Amino acid sequence: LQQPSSLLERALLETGVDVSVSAATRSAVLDALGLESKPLAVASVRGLPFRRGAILLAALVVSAVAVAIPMAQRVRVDAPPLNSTEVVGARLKPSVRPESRSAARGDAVDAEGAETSETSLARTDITRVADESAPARASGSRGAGRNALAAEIAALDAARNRLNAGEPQTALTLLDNYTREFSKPRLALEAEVLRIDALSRSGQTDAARRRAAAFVRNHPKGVLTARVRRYLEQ
Amino acid sequence: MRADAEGQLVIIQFPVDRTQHRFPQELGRVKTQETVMSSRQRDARLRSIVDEHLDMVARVLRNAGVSESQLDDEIQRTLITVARRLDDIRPGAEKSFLIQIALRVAAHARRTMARRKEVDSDEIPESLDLDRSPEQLTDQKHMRQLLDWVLARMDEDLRIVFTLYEFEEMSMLDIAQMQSIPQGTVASRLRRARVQFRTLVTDLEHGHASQVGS
Repeated sequence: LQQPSSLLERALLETGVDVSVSAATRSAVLDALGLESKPLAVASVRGLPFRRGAILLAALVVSAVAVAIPMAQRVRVDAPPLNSTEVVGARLKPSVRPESRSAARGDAVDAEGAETSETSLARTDITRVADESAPARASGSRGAGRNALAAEIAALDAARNRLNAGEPQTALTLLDNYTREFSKPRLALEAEVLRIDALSRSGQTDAARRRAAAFVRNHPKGVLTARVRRYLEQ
Repeated sequence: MRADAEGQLVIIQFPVDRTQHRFPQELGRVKTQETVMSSRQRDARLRSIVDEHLDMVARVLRNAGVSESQLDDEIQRTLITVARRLDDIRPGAEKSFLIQIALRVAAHARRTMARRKEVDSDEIPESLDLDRSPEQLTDQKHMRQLLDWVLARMDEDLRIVFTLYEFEEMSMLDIAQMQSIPQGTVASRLRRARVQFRTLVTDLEHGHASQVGS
């Protein structure tokens, strides 16, 4: 408003502008995107909330260190030494992804899963699949859900690359791995579209059409639905 | 049309029949070498978007009706969507793209809230009592509640134009392009939005804040 008619109006307009994000939120966003969190230069930050957040964060770090040092000393004294099996086991333990508050839930089309069992791989394919899904697994197993999204993207990229290389069966296996690994995937819809494509290319057109029909039925207004719908119309 | 094995070519293609592995081109998008970003480039671009626009995303979401308690979730949802569609964003058009995604995310959040019947009532909460002192004008939390109350009661089309113009300082031309509506429509909506905003604020002042304002 060019001429606010009252103090209240002016105050409300100022309030609408005065929204900023805390350092903790920024850090959480970067983590969700699989990006390393770097401290912002103070000069580039405007707004009190961030400074408050930064102070709070610093206080938390100091408290955490104060608690962690005595605990570490106690563990060093009390804890029995780990043997190598336990260490390896811990490293290979499947990732426990935190509940993704913003994850799309149950978006995967629960159409026929039978076609996945129809996919058989040559020995070399299996090796390659293991190699390609390794980075995704590794990044997915980092604590606190860090790089979870990056891991999902990597997993789907691997499947897409195999598909583009003319290996739809390998792509299907990678997509099966993806489904197993990510119980609440954020990119479930992309994965489903890839699966439909891979099924078509592998000659399983009936299965592809069934899944495509289910996709359109379940997500009539989705971003990817137009593509799938056009496929059905072919 | 086939993918280039070098790039992360994305072709969502489907065979017309089993023998002819050709697919309708419009089903997918082809990334050329020039448009394919390396993982490092993607990360750098994404980080740059977060660094430059995170506050704006929060502001758009908040003013579009996302509650404080949901804000962090919806910020993440917006940025994740942006990350997924990074290749679709024209360099220089990041802000516009982010705002559009944020508005959609906010609309979705509002619908979810409505389904859960978490929408607040028509009454101003009792805690919003401006009669006590003008100092409440400097109480950010309090003012935020009042602003939420006002914005929630504006027509959505008007509110979008109003918030983009007043809070994001976008020009009418930019808003028109972003919303795919004529510039005259933007001007008309902005005029009506101002009337609506002012009426609601007056309601607040008369009904609950008669001592405040001049």
